[in-house]
Amino acid sequence: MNRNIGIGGKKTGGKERRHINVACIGNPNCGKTTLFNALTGSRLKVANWPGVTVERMEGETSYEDTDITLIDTPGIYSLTCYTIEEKVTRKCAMDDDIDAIINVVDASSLERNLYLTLQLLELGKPVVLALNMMDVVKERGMELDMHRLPEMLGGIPVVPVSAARRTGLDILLHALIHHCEEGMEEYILDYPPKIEERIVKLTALMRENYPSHCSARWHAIKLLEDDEEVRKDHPISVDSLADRSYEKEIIQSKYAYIEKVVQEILFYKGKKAASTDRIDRLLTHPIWGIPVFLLIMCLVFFLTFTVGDALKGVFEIGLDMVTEGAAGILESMGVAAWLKSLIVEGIIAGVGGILTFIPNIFILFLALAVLEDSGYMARVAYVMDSVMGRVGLSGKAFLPMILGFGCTVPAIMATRALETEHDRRKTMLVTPFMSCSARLPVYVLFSDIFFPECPAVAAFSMYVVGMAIAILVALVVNRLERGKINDSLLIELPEYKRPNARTIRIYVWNKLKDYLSKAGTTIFIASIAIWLALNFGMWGLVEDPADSFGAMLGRVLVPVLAPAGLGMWQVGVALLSGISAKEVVVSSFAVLFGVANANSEAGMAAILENIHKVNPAFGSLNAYCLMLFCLLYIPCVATVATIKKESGSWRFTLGMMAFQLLLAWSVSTAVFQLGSLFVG
Amino acid sequence: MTLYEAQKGGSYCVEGLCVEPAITRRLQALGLNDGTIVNILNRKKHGALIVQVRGTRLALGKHISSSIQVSESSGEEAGPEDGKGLADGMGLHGICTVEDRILAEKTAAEGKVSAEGGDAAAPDRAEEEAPQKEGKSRES
Repeated sequence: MNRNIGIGGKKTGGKERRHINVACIGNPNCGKTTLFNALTGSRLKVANWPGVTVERMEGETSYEDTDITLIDTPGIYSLTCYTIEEKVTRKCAMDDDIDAIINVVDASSLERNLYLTLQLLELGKPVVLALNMMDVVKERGMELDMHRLPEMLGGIPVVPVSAARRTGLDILLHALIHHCEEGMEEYILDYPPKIEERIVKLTALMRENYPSHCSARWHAIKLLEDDEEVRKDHPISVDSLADRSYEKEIIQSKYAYIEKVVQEILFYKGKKAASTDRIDRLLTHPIWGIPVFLLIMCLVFFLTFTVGDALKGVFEIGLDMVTEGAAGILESMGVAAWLKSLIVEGIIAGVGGILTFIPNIFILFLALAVLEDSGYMARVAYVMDSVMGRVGLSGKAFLPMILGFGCTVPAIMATRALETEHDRRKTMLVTPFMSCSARLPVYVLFSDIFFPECPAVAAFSMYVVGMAIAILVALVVNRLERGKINDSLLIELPEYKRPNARTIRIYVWNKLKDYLSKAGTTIFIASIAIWLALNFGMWGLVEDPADSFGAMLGRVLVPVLAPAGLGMWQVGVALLSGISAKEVVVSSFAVLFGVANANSEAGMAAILENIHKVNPAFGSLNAYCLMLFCLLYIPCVATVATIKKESGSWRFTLGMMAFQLLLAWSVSTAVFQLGSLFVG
Repeated sequence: MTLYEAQKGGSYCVEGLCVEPAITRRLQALGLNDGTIVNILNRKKHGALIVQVRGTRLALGKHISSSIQVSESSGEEAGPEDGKGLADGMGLHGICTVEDRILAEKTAAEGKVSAEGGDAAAPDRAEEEAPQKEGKSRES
C-alpha cells in the first residue's frame, strides 16, 4: 500500500521522481516496527518485549515526488556489535546505500535512547529523530522542550509521532525529505581535549586514506574505542594515536552530554507513579513469580481447550454441509467412485478435519498475543532465570521457548537474540519440545476420545511434559559439557501497557492466515498423498487399505513402535506423514478410517470403533503414548529447514532429529511399559 | 561492595564494572557507567535482580550484578569523588541526573501512597523508606 500524499504522486509533470533508502534505527522495543507498519502499510509482527524483530525488512512508501524504501531493523542500544541481530543493524546503518536514518526514540526513556542518537549523528548521515511514545511521557506528567532538543542535537529535525495512533507521520516524512537535501554537521559534542585532539588527527588520517568515506569522524572515534571490525577493515597505522582503548571515556562523555541535554529539556511535574512497579511486585515476586507464571500458562491452555471446544460446533455444521453437498454433487455428476473417494474421503476429510480446530488455534494465539503485547514476556525471562541458569542458559533463552507454544519456526528465529552461538544451539535443541499449535489438534482429538472425563487435563499435561523435558534435556547437555551455571541475564523490562487491539488483530490474523495456507498447501498435498498411499497397492487400486503401499510401509514400523504401545500400521503411517506437519497426524487418521469430520462426536466415535476393530486393546494409555510420541519426535519439515538455516550445519540438524526420534521412542516406551504394570 | 549484595529498595552509585569486555560494553551502552545511580526495584534471594537505571528497568543475572562495584549512594556526596576517574576537563557534572531526581521523587510519592493505604504489607513499606528519605534530601 503506497501513501501518495498531497499534490505529489506520480503525476508531478516533468519533474523526475527521486528515490531514497531510509533505515529505521533505534533501541529495542521503542516502536520501530510499529512505525514501519504505519508508514508502509505492512503487517509485520510487533509486541511489547525487546528483540521481536530479528531481521531487516524492506517496505515502500512515498511522499510528494520522492519514493522511499524504508528498512526496518532489529533494535540496538549502541553501534557496537554484541548479538547477531545487532550486527545486522550496524551493517545496515553503515551501508552506503542508506541515504538517511529515521532514529526512532522512546521519549519516555530519553536518557538511554539518546546514546544511540549521538552515535548515529557521528555517522554523518542525515538523521531525523522520531519521538515515539509521547503519550507515555504525558501520562507520567513529563514535558519536553521541543525547541531546545533539536538545538542540542546539531539542528536535526525532531518530530513527535505516535506510531500506534498514526499521528505525526506526514510531518516526519516531510522533515525527512527536506533534511536529506541539507546534509549534516558531524560535530555535536565536545570530548575532553585530550581525546578530541586525537579524534581530529584520526579523522584527518581517515580522510586521507579513505576519501570516499562519508563518516570519517565516526570511524576515527571507533578506532579510538578499539572497535574490532573497524580496525580490521581499516588497516592503517594509528598506534601512536589510539595507543589504548579510550572507549570508557568516550562513552562517559556521551552520557555526560546526554545528562546535560535531559536536564535542559525535561520537565517533570510529578503527577503519577508508575503502575508498572506495582504490577511487578506480584508478577516478579521472588517466591510467587514462578507459580504465577505457571498459573498464567495454565489459564492460556485452559481457555484454548474449553472455549475453543465450545466454538467448534459452528465449524462442524459447516463442514458437514460441505461434505454432504460435495458427495451429493459428485453423485449427481456421476463421477468415478475412486475420484469421489479421493475428494470426500481424502481431501475433505484431511483438510476439513484440520479446519475445525480453528477456534482452538484462534484462542491460543489470542492469548499469546495478549501476553506478548502486555510486557509480561520480558518478566518471564527474569522469573525463569534461576531455573534456566541451573541448566546453563540465561533466562533470555526462555523467550524463544514461550514463542514455541505458538509455532516453532519463529521461535527458532528468535534465538538470534541470544549472545553466544553455543546458547543458540542449545536453545534450538530444546525449543521443539515446547508444544506448538500444530500439535494441538492431535491432543484435542485423542484426549477427547480417550479421556472423556478430563480432556483438558490430559492435553495440558502434554505442555507440562514438553516443558519439563526441554529443561531436563538442557540440564543433561549442561552436565555432559560440564557447563557452569549461567547467570548472565541482561534484558530490559518494558513498561506494562494495555494490549493494542490493532497489534493483536494483526498478530492473530497473521497466525490464522499461516494456518489456513498450511491447510491449503502442506495438509492438502499430504491428504492426497495419504489417500493415494492407502488406495494403491502392488496390483493397482486396492479394496482393503491393508493391502496398500501405505500399509506395507506402516507394517515395517510396527515392530519398532510395538514396545511403545503403538504397534499398528495405521499409527506408523500417521506418524510418518506427520513429519510434513503435525496436524497431518489427525488428517491421516481421518483419511485412514474414512471419517468426514474427525473433530465431531460422530467422527470420534467412528475413529474409536475403527481403532478397536484393528486393535481392541488400544486404550487410554496407548493414546497417551501416541500424544507423547507426537510431542517429542521430529518436528515438522518447516522447523527442520529453519534449524538448518539458523544453525548452518547439517550435522547439528540431523543429529538433533535422530536424538528427538530416540527420545520420543524411549519416553513413550517407558511410559507404556510402566503404565501397563498399573493399568494391567 | 557489589550490586549483588545490594538491598531491595536501596539506591547505589556505580563505581566500576569488572566483567567480560562484551558485557561491559553492553552495560556501558545501557548507561551503566561510573557514577551512575541505580535503584534496586526487586531481587531474588540468590539470583537475578531488577534495577532502575536512567529511567528504564533492567533485569541483571547474578554473574553480572556481582561484577558491578557499587557504593551506597547518599545523594550529593557521590558526585565529585566519582568524577575523578574521568578525563580532565570533563567530569560528570552532578552525578544525580534529572531522571534520577524524578525517580527519587516518584518512589517518595509511592512510599506515601502505600503508607496512606495502611493495609499495605509491612515489609514493603520498610523497603520503601530508604528511597523516600533520599528523595527528600535531594529535593532540598
